[in-house]
Amino acid sequence: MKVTSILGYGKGEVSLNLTAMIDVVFILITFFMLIFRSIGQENYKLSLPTGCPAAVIPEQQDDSGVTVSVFRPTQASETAGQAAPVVYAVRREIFDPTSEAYRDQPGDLVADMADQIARQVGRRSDDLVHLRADKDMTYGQVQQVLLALSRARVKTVQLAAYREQSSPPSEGSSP
Amino acid sequence: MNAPANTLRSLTGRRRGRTPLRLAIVPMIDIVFLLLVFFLVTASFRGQEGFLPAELPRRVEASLAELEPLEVRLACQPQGGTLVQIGGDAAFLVGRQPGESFDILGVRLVEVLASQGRTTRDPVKLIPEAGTKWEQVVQAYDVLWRRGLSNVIFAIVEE
Repeated sequence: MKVTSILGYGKGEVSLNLTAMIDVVFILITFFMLIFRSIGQENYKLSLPTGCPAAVIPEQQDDSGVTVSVFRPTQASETAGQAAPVVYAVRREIFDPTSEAYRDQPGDLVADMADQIARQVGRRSDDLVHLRADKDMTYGQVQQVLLALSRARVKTVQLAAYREQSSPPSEGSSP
Repeated sequence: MNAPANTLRSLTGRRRGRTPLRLAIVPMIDIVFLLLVFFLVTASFRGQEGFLPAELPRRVEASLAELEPLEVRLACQPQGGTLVQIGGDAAFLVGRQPGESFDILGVRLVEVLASQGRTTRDPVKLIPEAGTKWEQVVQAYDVLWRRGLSNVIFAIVEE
């Protein structure tokens, strides 16, 4: 690249060494890709309870684990003046208590959840289930899952929670 | 007739000229930066989740020697906080202020266990009201677990 001075005396040459910059950029990309842990399990947007020092952080993520989630869908909660309905999810299958099927027969909700849980747990060697419920859910709402778990004869449940008192910066999707 | 400077190598093998090979670095840098910005913008971070182990009660035949579980009742208060009652003792308020921990529950629980001659292996029944926030239930369970109480039963309550 040639730069001519204002007065036109002489011609200076300015060069930009891009190789080093490319190296740094690739290193940065590699760094971010290595430190990120993509979350393979179901990852609905919810805020877990905080302030539980006894919660154990697993060393390795169990992507094939059975996760049951209790939360309010984000889009529904944005509707003004309306309390969003609570939704249950067994892995990727959603159970909406306000749907037509369960509005008429609310008792079927627990039964269907139990069937789905039993089916998912049957594919594993252990009967471990992770329960991820939003911290603002009431016990009465989460209780439906406990009933379903009991009905599915699941004995070992792990309640998801954060160890620290303060809430983490954001929840949700994997990188 | 003069051959142009960038003629290909002649059949005799003599180099007449050299085709300069150039690597277009600038578009590559653009793509790399685009990728970097894409990953930084689309990534969202989640705190590392911990898990509190729990076991749901098994259906066993009640034996005469089975100890009645110690009841721990939780009730959400409209003015804030959770009212906790251990056994038949007087209830006390916990978590009135944001960030206030449930540790006082652990202290009172140890006192009640000692007074009733119970051990940490004895059953404890957690009875939250239907309207109690799940976070408070989990925090109470966390306190029980930290005190070594692993035989905790979650009661099913009327809504």
